[in-house]
Amino acid sequence: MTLPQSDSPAPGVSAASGQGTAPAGSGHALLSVRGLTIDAGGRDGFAPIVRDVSFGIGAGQALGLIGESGSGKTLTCMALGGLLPRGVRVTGGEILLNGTDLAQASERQLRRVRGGLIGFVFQDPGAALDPLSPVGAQLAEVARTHQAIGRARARSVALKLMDEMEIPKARDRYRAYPHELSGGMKQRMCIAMALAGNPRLLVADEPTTALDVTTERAILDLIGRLRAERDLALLLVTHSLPVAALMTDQLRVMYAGEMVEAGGTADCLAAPGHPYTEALAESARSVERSRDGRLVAIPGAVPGGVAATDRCVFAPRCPYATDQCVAGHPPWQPTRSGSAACIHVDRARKDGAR
Amino acid sequence: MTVAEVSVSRVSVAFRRRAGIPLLHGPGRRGPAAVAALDDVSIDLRRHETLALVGESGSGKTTLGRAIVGLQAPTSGQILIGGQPLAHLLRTDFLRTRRRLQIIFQDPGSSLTPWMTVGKAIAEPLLKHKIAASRADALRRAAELLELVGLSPASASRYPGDLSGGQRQRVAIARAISVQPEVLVCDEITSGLDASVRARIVNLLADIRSERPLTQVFITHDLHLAQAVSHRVAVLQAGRIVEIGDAAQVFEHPEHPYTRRLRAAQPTLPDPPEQPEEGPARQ
Repeated sequence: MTLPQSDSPAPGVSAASGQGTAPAGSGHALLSVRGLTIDAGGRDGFAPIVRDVSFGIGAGQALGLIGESGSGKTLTCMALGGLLPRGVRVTGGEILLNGTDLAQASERQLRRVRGGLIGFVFQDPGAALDPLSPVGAQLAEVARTHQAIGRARARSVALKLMDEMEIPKARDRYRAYPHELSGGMKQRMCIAMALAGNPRLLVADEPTTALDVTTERAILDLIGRLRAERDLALLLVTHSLPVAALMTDQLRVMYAGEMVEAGGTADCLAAPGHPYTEALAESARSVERSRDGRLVAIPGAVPGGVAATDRCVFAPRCPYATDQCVAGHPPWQPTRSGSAACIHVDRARKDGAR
Repeated sequence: MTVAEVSVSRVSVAFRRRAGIPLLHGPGRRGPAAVAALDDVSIDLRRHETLALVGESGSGKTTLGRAIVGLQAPTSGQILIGGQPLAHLLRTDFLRTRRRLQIIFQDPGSSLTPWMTVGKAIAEPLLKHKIAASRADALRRAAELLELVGLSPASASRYPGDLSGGQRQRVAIARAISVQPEVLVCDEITSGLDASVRARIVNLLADIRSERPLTQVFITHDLHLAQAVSHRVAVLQAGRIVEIGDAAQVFEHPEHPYTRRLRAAQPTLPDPPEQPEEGPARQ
């Protein structure tokens, strides 16, 4: 069921992952995703919903994955843990974690990886916790699946983790049910569970989207501290550019199931190579600057169906689009700190600032 | 059409705690018998004003918004709409009062009836409030409203489940403005949405405000958004207004430590370079 990896489906893609990981100066890649393609079953057979996505994360590195809903960010994350929903499957590419290809791994191997090498945290902590059992017991159970320890030891491991997550009154909260905890506390419990197996990589998919501004900041600060203390790598999926800017040093931008830009986070946001990144940044900036009740929107919508391979997927919404953009799939071009799949990366040089 | 000013005067809302539901936070498992969601809040909204309510979850923003449209009766204090007590208006002229005061919620997925087509959902209040002369007229107006909020009139025959979150929120907006309210409360209406969709919803509200008179309450925990859309901002903490003033004033020179804390918590984008550099490419 896995398609053979063609020699080099898009030469630029390897440039993207190569250049993307280079600036962080991390010698060895903890995770290396190459040419990942994910298909969804439909009435007309399988169609790609994520196509040819490549990126790498070095040990201890933080990479942000941004894009609108429907860009394929979440599916990409789920593929890392073999968590794709029924009817959706990886049909191409490889997911190398410490050299093992997870795309080919058995369910048994994946079970060891999930929570073991990769910890996952999702948007809705309420849905991630079992409403019928106390949160402390749930955490202790996770600890026991990763370590050969008894119940009493698991309990103390869980309490220690809760302390590490800055959960006050951990002994009281150990017995609490999820509905008794606030959203922020529930997310702290979920992070504790994700870290119970001492993973090297934390995959966090919109971990603070459901939280208000002060709780969001507290959770982000917690993740930052845990990263430093545990030398933990981070793959952060977010639609908030300020959050990506705060938390990550590398950025990957996805659009309609494809990766369109790769580079250092600060550079990508300050001087976007791809017009889509530019549009996202302008939209996000307009919220901070607008005083007249109007924000900058990106015209059009993310295409719902399958993106075409013979032209730029963003062209219909792009202010720079030319005939050339729809004549072929855009090659990867070097940008300030990475690369972008666009033939107009040099636009700023030609016509100055917009 | 005249737009009512809203006057909230010393309003408190207390929720009684049901027995048998212990709360972990607060003093011990028992805690007090009642929780004050709003504590002696007074605020006047001018006609045509957009007021933002900001604060953390539990600060009372939603309770205040619900109280203003009459969905939550104050435990004490009163709310005046156009100079008349809201409680009295609801008793004597319920339907018309409901029409004048509209609210849009955070999750349009749960505020729209899943088995009612979008067109019917918008037509229903038009019939209820006798704004439309007939069923056919109501459906025709619903199609116009859909166009106004940027959806195709053909989407009238679709169900909420067929639409994206942003599209559903547009339907909720169309439904709320269909009855030409004087006061519109927007409770975290863009929280679950992408930046670009959020921008379009916010712009749609700006268009609506410029076309018809409206007094608006915009509830959000995003301080940037509050500043972008509002004339004045009220900062709520634990049921009390701790700071209120001109939007730019409150955020650029916050006086209350809580406002400063909210502001410091909000991540911001680093500034782009003023001048584009020689070229983006670096070999």
